[in-house]
Amino acid sequence: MLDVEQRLRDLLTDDHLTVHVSPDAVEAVHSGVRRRRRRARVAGSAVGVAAVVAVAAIAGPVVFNRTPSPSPGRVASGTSGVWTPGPLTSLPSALTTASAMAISGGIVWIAGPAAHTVDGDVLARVDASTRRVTTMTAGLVSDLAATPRHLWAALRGGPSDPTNCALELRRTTDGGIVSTYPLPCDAGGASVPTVTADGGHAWVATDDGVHTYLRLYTAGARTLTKQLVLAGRLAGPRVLAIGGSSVYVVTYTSDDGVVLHQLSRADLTPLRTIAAPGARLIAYGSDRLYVADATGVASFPPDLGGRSDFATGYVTTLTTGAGIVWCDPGGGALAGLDPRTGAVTSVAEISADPPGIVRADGSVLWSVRRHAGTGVGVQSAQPAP
Amino acid sequence: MNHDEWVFDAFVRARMPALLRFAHALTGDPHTAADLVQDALERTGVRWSKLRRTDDPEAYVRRAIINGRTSRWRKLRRESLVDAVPEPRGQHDPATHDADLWRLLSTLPARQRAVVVLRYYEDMSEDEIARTLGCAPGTVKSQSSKALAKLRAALADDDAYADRAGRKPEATCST
Repeated sequence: MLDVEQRLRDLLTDDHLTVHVSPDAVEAVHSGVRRRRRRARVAGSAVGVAAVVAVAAIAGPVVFNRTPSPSPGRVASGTSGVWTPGPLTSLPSALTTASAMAISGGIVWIAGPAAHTVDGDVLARVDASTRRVTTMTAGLVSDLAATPRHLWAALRGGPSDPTNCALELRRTTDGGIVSTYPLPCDAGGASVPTVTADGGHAWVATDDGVHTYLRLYTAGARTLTKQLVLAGRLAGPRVLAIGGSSVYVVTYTSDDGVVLHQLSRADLTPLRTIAAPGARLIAYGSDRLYVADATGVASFPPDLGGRSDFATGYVTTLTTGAGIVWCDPGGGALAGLDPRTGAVTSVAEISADPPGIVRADGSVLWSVRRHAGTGVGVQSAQPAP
Repeated sequence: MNHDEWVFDAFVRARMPALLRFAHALTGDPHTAADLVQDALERTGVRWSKLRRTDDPEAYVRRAIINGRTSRWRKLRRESLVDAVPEPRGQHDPATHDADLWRLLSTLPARQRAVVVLRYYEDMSEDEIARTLGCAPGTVKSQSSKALAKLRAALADDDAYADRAGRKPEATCST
């Protein structure tokens, strides 16, 4: 008999548990929200009237003063705005530097070049609670994305076979490979596939030098679920993001312009494309899309309907988490910006070296940094009490 | 529709199928699941402008579903039993490969079933489950171990019964 734990996994991930969503289900939710708000307003008015009457009876005429609104820029209530670093966890010497990092469910995944081979990387699994590190070999990892159940590794081609791009699905329990899917690749070895994930799905962007291929994969499926081919190359290694019901990707046009695409995350249907000159990094958080170019960071609403200047200056890191937008303006610390105003409200006293390898997991910020000249370590920062 | 409502609408459309599936696993019944998800999403919608700043409104919805399920379980437990069950038990059971285990899951107390679903469907760690349920990790560990022990014992009983009868219990419908 199969162990009961395996039987539970099989049972609970069985397709038969899928529940049909009725056509009017979403509208029913909105109606329910409106009904509850009306009830709350009525109840609130009744309580307010009763309170005013009671106060008036005791203290005479009531004078209403406008309560000062909270000052803007404060993000994490209860914190001083300083995120203090935790201990540095050294990674095995087989890992010479880091090229990708992903975090989910208290597990930090870091990939980087191996010390003794050019055709493979080392993938490290760090348990955030125990700081236990295990390593395994991998292909040349260009990007990682993690969910509690799945680790997705985008692989670029190696010197011996530049066209060997692939997407690997690994178990998060031990890093074992579950599936490998081939990806389109530039024959010259210039492709750097990038991946992001949520639930049991992964969105991958890669290019063959002429077109960008945006693909949707589903864990457990034998092949890709959806594909969209866009004209032009991918505009960099950190230009893919998901947020709300959309997926965003930046590509070059045939005349070397740069455009930002918004697509449906469910079926990759194109929704909107706008010009995004110089866009090099994107990140989604707090219902905004943040786009960095050479001069600063702009923010957009989810439908890309209006651009706002968010921050100025050249940033090498752009990531979101815990209601904060994190940038790396240089100087050995990360700046946390209010997602609405762009004001610096937090400072994390950790550096990102190499730049860009920073991820937030809840209220913990993780970065990779070199230490003692030769080794690589992973470090977290949390709001100071 | 203002910006907040637009974002909430997108969230509901994107996440409702997954939330329904989660609630189905939790309750064992697709209709109860739909009710719980509707109720949880309405509560979420009322607080949306505040919740969406926490970056994880889905965790809030899951907690609301679990709490709703526990409240219903407590209410039903207090109701008196009748001789004849109005609806044949299991009429909503999905045609799953493992009908025995699906049936036994419904015998677990609400908290134990929630732990099992979060562990084996959502693949959460003990700490994450503890945060979701608002209890100590030690409680999660003990509830999980009690649930597994109960399921193992019940499955072993089923096997013993099948051995004594010379057939598998679920084979009554086959030729």
